Amino acid sequence: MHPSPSAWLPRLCRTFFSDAASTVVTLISLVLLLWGAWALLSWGLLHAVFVPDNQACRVASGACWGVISEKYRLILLGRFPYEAQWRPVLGTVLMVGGVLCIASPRFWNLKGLAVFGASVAAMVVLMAGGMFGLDPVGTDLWGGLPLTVLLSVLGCMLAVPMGLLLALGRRSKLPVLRAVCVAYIETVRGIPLIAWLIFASFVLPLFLPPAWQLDLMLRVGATIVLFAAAYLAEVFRGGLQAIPRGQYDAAHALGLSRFQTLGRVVIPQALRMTLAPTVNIVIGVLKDTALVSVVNLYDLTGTLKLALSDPDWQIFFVETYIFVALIYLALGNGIARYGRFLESHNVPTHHR
Amino acid sequence: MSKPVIEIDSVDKYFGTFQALSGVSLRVDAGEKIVICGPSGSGKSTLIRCINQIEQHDTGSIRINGVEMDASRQAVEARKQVGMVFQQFNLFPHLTVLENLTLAPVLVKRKSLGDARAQAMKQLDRVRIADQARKFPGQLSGGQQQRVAIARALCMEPTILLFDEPTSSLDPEMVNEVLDAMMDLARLGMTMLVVTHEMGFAQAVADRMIFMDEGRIVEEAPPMEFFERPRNERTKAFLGKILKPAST
Amino acid sequence: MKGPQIPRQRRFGALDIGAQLALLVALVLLGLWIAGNVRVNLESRQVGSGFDFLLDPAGFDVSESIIDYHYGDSYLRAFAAGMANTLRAALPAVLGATLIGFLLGICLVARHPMLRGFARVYVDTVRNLPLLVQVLLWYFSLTTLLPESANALNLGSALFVSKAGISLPLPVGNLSLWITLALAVGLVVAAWLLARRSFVPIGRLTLGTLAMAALLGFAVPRLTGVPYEVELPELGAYGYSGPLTLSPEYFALVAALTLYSAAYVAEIVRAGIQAVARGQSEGAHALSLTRSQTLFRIVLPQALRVMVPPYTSQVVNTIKNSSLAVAIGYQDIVSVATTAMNQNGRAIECIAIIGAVYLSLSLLVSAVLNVYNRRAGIQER
Repeated sequence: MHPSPSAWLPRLCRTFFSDAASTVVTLISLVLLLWGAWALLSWGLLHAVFVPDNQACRVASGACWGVISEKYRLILLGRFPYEAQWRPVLGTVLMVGGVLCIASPRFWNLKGLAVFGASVAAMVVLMAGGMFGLDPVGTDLWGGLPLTVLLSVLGCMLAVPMGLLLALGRRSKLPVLRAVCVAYIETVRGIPLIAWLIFASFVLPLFLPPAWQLDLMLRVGATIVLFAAAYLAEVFRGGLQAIPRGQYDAAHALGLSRFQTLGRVVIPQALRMTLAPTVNIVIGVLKDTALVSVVNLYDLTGTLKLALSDPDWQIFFVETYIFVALIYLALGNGIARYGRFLESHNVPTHHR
Repeated sequence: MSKPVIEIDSVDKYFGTFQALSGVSLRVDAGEKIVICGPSGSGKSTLIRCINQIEQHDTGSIRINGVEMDASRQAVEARKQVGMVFQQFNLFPHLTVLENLTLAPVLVKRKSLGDARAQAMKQLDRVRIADQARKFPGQLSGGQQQRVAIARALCMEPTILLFDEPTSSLDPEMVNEVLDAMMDLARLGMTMLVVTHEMGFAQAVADRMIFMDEGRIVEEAPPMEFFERPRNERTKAFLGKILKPAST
Repeated sequence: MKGPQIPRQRRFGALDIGAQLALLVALVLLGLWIAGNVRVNLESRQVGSGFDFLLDPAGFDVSESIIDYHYGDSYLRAFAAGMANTLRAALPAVLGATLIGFLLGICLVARHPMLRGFARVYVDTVRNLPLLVQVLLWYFSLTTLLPESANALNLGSALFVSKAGISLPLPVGNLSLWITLALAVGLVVAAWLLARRSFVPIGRLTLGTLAMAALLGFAVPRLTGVPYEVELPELGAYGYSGPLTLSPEYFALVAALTLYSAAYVAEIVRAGIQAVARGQSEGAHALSLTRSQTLFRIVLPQALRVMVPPYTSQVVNTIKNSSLAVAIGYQDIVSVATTAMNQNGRAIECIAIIGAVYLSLSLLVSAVLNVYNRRAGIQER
C-alpha cells in the first residue's frame, strides 16, 4: 500500500516541526540558509566583476573573479614555459583517462594495467621532454594541477604494492624481516610528512655520494611513496588479519602453494575488505601533495601562493582560494564517490 | 586385501602442552568408508587434519598410498590425492562458484581453463547445483554452499575424501541434501573418512565405525556391531547420549 | 610398519635462515655506505658533527616563546622553546577538536535532517581540503583583514584584535584565584562522579554545578579579602602586547587545526555511535527513555569503547599536523630545527631531534590512551 500523495505534508511536519526544539532548529536553519544563499548570490554573482580589470575589482562590492581570469594559467600550470603548456594539459588528460580506465572493474587485468602504465609514462615524457622532439623542461618548472595529479597518481600507484609487501613482511614468521618492517612502519608513521620532506630536501643529499645529484622532484616523489606505503601497510595488515583460518585450510587442502594461496585467495580478499580505509589514504595522499609547496616545489598550493605574491591582486585572495579549494574538493569528492561505488559494486566478503 | 591407502601409526599430536592425539593407529583400505565419532575435544578433527597435513603430527607416521607425510616433494604430490570438505565450507567469497572450482585444477594440475570448466560443470551436475555456477558463494544457502565445496574437492580428482563435520553448520532442512550428495559419492567407490554426528548416515554408508575419546581410538567396529553391541563403556555412554531412544 | 619417528622441527628451514642473514648483511652494508658518504659530505662542507652544538649560542630569536628565551641563549633552549610552542598549539587544538567534533558527531546522527545536512557538508568539505590550504587561508585572512594596532578592534580595554594578534587579559594568580580553581575542580569531579553513580538527570546536574560555581566566584574573594585581579593588555611600540597575546600565526594554526581535526573526530564519534547495536536503542525505547537519555546513558558509554583506538590515532595526527607551523612562520619544533639547521649546517642532528621528539610524543599519547582503553575492557587486536 503506497501512502497517498497528500501524506507528504504530515511527514514533512513530523520531520521538521515535531517538537519545540526541532521547530527552532528548522526556523534558524531556514533563516541562515536563505541569508547565506542571498549573500553568496549577491557577492558572487550580482555584484561580481568577471573581467581581469584591477581597478574595476577594487571599486566593486562583489567578488573579483577577474583575478581568476588573470591568474588562472599561473595557478593551474605553474611556471611551465608558455608555448609548451599544451604538454602538461595533454599529459594530465591522458593520465586521468588512464586512471578512469583502470577504475572500471572491466579493466582489472593486465590489459588495463598496461594502458594505465602507458598513460603515466606518457605524462612523465610530456612533462620532462628531451625525447620525441620535445624540448626538455626542468622539474623545477613543473607545477600546478598537473604536478598535483602526477604526484598523487604515481604516489598511490607505487605505494600500494610496497604497502602490501610491508604488511606481509610484518606478519612474517622470520624475526629479522618482521623487525625491519615494524621499525620502518612505526618510524615513518611517527614523524610528520613535512619533517620527512625537509629530510629529503636537506639531509638526503648528505647520505649519498657527492657525485649523485638526485633531482628534488625525484626525492620528494619517493618520500610521498614511502610515507603512504607505511600507512597502507597498516591498513592491509588489518585486512590480512581478518581473513579466517579456514580460507588458508581450504587452499591447502586443494594443493595450492603458499604463493598461490597469497596471490589468489588471501590478497584479493584483504584488498576488498580494506577498501574504505584505503580510499581515505588515497585522499590523504592528494592532500599531502600540498605540502611539497613548503620545500619549494610548485604544486597547486605552491602556485596559489605564487599567484598571490603579486601585490596588485593580493587582496582578492578569497576568490583565488575558493578557486583552488573547489579543485581540491572536486578531486577529493570524486575519489570518495568512486570508493563508495566500489564498495557497493563489491562482492560481499562476509565470513560467517 | 588390497594395499592400504592410508596408514596411521602411533601418532601423537600436541598443541602446546595439551595432547590432542595419543598413540593413534589406523589403516584404511581403498574404497572403505570410515565414520569417526566422539565427544568434542576427542581429537577427531585433529586426526583428519593431520592426514592431509593441515596440522603436522609430532610423532609417529602417516602414509598416504605408501608415501610418508612430511615436508618432502613426494608428500606434496601424494597429498593431491586427498580432498577435504570443511564444516565452515571455506569457499572463496570473492570468486564465483565456477571460479572456486576451476582455480586449483588450473593452478595446481595445470589444466587448461576449458578442461577445468568442463570438469567443474560435471561435478556441479553431480551435486545437482549446476544452475548456480555464475553466482557468488554469499548468494547461496548453507546447503548449496556445502555441495559446491564438495564439488570443488572433487574437481581435483581425489581418491580419498576427508569430511570434517560437513553438516554441523547447516540448518536442519539442508542437512539431507548434503548427506544425499555424500551417499552418491559413497556408492561410486570413493574412499571416505567422515567425522560426523549423523548416525543415520553412518549406519547406511560406513564400513567401519571409529569412536574416539581424549585423543585415542577407543573402539573400532563395523556399524552393526558398533551400534548394537558396543564393547567399551565410554562408547555406550556416548551412544546413549546421541542416539534417539528406540521405540519399544 | 615403521616404528615411531623422532619429532620433526618445522620451525625454520635453511632457506629462511639464509634469507634473514642476507637481509641483515645487506642492511649493515647499506649503513656503512651511508656513513661513508656522510663523512665525505660533511668534510667537504666543513661542518662538524655531534650534538655538542646544542650548548652553543643560537643566532636567532624565537618569537612568542612561553619559556624564557632570548637571542643568544643556547640551541638547547631554543629547541625547548620550539617544543613548548608545539605543545602550546597542539594541545588546545586537541581539546577544541574533541569538544567540537563530539557535538558534530552527534549532529551527524541526529534526527533533524538540517542538523545532519549541515554537519555532513562541514565534515565532507573540511576533510577534503588540504590542511595546509586551510592554514594559509586563515593566515592570509587574519593578516590582511585585521586592522593595524592603532585602530585595533577592542572590547573596552580588555580585549584587542589587530594585525599584531589577539591580546587577552590574564587573571593574576593570587590566593583567591587558586582557592576558587581548586574548589571548582573539586566541584566538577564531584558532579561527574554523581552523574555516573546515580541517575540524577544530567541537565539539572549541569545547571546546579554552574550555579554553585557562580556562587563560589562570588563568595571566595569576600571570604579571603583578596579580590580578583586581571592584567590588561598594553599598547607598546610594536602594537599590543600583554600577558596573553595570540599572534596571527598562532591563531591561524590553532583555528585551522581545530576545525580540521574536529571533522575527523566527528566521523569517529558517528562511527562509534552507529556501531552500537540497534537493539540497544530499541530496548531503551521500549522502556520509554527519551532520545537524549538513550544517547547519553545507553549508547555513548558503549560507543566510547569503540571510539578510543581511532581517537588515539587522531590525537597523534593532530600533534603531527601542528608541524605545518613551519609554513606560516610559527616557531614550533620543526620551524626551530630548520632554522638551526640552516645556521649551523648540522642537518642530520637537527632532523634526528625532530624525529625523536615526535616519536616520543606519539608513544606517550598512545601509552596514556591505551591505559583507558584497557580499563574500558574492549578487545583490541
